[in-house]
Amino acid sequence: MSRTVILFPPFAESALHGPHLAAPLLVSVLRENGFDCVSEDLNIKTIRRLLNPASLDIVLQQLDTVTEGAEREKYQACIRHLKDKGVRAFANAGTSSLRVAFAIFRKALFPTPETISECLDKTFLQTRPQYGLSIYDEFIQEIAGLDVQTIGMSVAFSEQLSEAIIISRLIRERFDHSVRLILGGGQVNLLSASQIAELAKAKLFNAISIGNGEQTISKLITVPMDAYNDGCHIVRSPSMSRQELEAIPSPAFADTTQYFAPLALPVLVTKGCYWGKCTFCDYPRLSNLGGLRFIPVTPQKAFTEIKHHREKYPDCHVNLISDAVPASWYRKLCALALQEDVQLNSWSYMMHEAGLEDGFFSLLSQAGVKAINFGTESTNDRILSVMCKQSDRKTVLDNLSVAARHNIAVVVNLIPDYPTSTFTDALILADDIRDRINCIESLNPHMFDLTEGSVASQTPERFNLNVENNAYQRSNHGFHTMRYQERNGLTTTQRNIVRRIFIDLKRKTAITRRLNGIQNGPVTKDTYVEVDGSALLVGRKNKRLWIVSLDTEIPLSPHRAKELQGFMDACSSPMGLSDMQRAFKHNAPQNDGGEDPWYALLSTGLIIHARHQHP
Amino acid sequence: MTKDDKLPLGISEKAWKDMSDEDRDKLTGISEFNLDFIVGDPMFRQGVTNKRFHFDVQDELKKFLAIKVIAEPHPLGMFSPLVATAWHCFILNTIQYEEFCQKYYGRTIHHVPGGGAGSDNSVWIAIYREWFGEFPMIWMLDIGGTEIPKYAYSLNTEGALTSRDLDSDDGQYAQPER
Repeated sequence: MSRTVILFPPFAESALHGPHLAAPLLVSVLRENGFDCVSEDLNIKTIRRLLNPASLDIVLQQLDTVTEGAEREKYQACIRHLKDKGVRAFANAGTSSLRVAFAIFRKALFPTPETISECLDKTFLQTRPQYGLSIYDEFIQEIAGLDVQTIGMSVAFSEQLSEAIIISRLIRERFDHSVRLILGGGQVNLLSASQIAELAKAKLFNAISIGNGEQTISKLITVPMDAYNDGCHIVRSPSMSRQELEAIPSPAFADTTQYFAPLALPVLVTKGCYWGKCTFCDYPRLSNLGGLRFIPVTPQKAFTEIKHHREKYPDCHVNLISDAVPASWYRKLCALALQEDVQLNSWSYMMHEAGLEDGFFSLLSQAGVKAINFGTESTNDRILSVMCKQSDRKTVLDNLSVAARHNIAVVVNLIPDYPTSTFTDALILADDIRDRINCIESLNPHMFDLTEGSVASQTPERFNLNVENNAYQRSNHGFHTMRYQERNGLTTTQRNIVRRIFIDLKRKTAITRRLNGIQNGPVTKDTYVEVDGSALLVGRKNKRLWIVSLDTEIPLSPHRAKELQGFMDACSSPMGLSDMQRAFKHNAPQNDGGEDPWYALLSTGLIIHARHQHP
Repeated sequence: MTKDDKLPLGISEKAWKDMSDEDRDKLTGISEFNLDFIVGDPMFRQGVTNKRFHFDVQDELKKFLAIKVIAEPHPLGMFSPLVATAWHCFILNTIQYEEFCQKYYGRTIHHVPGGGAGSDNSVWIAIYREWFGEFPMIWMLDIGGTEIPKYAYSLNTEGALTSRDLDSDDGQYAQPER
């Protein structure tokens, strides 16, 4: 027994289109050192399993137990619709509709605790619906067949930690203590010392790896089992140098056919962030870089990897993995791509910078950079200064416009309620974004979370925050989110209003994109459009159109609901724009008000560009 | 106020709790302001022939003006033909309108007819929903009482209804008090 299996636990919704980088990197490091190692993406396997009709039936049954009233009716309608349409049609506008379905799956079968203590409480496992556990148990049986000695859990996102703990408990039940169980990953690095100590005391893991797992994994899997008799080892990696980073072999991806199209493969660019000063950010704790803010691989190494991926998977997208790709590094990568005539087809994070002008984005565009996700966060000079961002309002707004002008899809992250923000500040930010909605492909507003390790958590008084020591709770950022009160901050109602405004803006951005795609694209007899397959009518008494992919609901009078259902039934497959318009007029003869009802329909976002040509 | 009392204009308990005493007094005052003088002939003359709307629309106008007075979002566009008509009727009673504005806003709430610079009302729509819940159907009817097709869609997806009439927003927010 000498095999090592690296598990990537459920649920990581950002890893639907391709593997997360961590597990394949660890596999490649171990193989290079002569160990027998494989990775198992339990995230995508669980998701695929849950999308089976039989699983959907069980989700429907379980919703009877965990939901009631209008919520039950709505969720069950969604799952039935998914089952009837099939995954491909349900997700014809992208996987955002599936993410809503996954949230329902989780509510039904995988309720998540709020704290690590609750995750570790043995009684929690007993409260879990059996079906979810049985899926995990099947996977563990498969792993048992691999003659395994070491199992590594690579936890990258907060939603995975509870599942990693549950799966580890099941592994312990099956294997007792004959298998070495190691916990690590970005999310574990971010936890507080007290939380890591709590995990160590749970008698689940033989070792917890903190820091750069690539440096410690080979040693960890050779520790004799009796060395753990005194309890769990907390192992911190040494600092990583630039040379060591460069020497890490290319990730060993397992089966890539299980992911949703288009396949997106990660390529390591940097560890750390070249700026590394943002006061909300806890990411400096992700890696031990010996006091450096960041270290990059050479553009040549990344380019070689990209070229390899593009040759092997010609349609694949490439995710450049870095907290923020430095502009100078990007220039070199693009020069290599242009020199060898390779389209990068890439996405990455970037920071706003004053020097990012026409020439820069033009170069990126020519090299095939498809999308940039900016950590914009705010457009207010005072708040940008409180955040310690390197850019001012003018730079931020210029970057967004110029990048979009060069056909680079711009994704914008925002924190509209950052500490010290007033209600008016948040409203002005909404105005700024609304004014530039045509430049923005996608909007990611996140309400502020205070996380352990950030500057804001270390000097809360500077941010008008009162922090409850050692009081942690789960958020999208992880279980290391701290409880706090803001002095003179937004009231709860104001924060709710701000949340509503930005959710609305996010939705509006997505709808604008769909609308522009149909209206501004070349409309010819060969232009095909289709109805968003995730759209369904819900509500018995008060009918609503629910476009799941946009997570938006529109109330309808009974006769309009009937008309719309007729139209959606008539347009269940891609068709020409004018044919669809005729079908709409045929099904909605009463729509003769002052406003153009066809435009009104388009402006709901219900109609999307057809992804596939007409059969 | 006891638990069983209805809060002014049906504002949610959470929003009420979060308000300053000054804002609660304003909301209570606006809620109790007697707008019966717009019922009947004034509304008929503006084309609202169904008298039921004359009463239903009063609270909605008060909510609109309360948002203006307390939260002051920009722009604050009036997109309902029925509520706009009630506003017009209120304005035509210049003495009462001026008294109302001075008492609760400290200056005139101006009215610019025929739209204006901004048409995106998503900010005040969000405030309305957080304070008062979903918009009742009256916001989506024309003055004859017929549903306007685009409105239900837009209220829920765009939040950017084209305003029939805009107030006097200059498009600028006052500098925040810190």
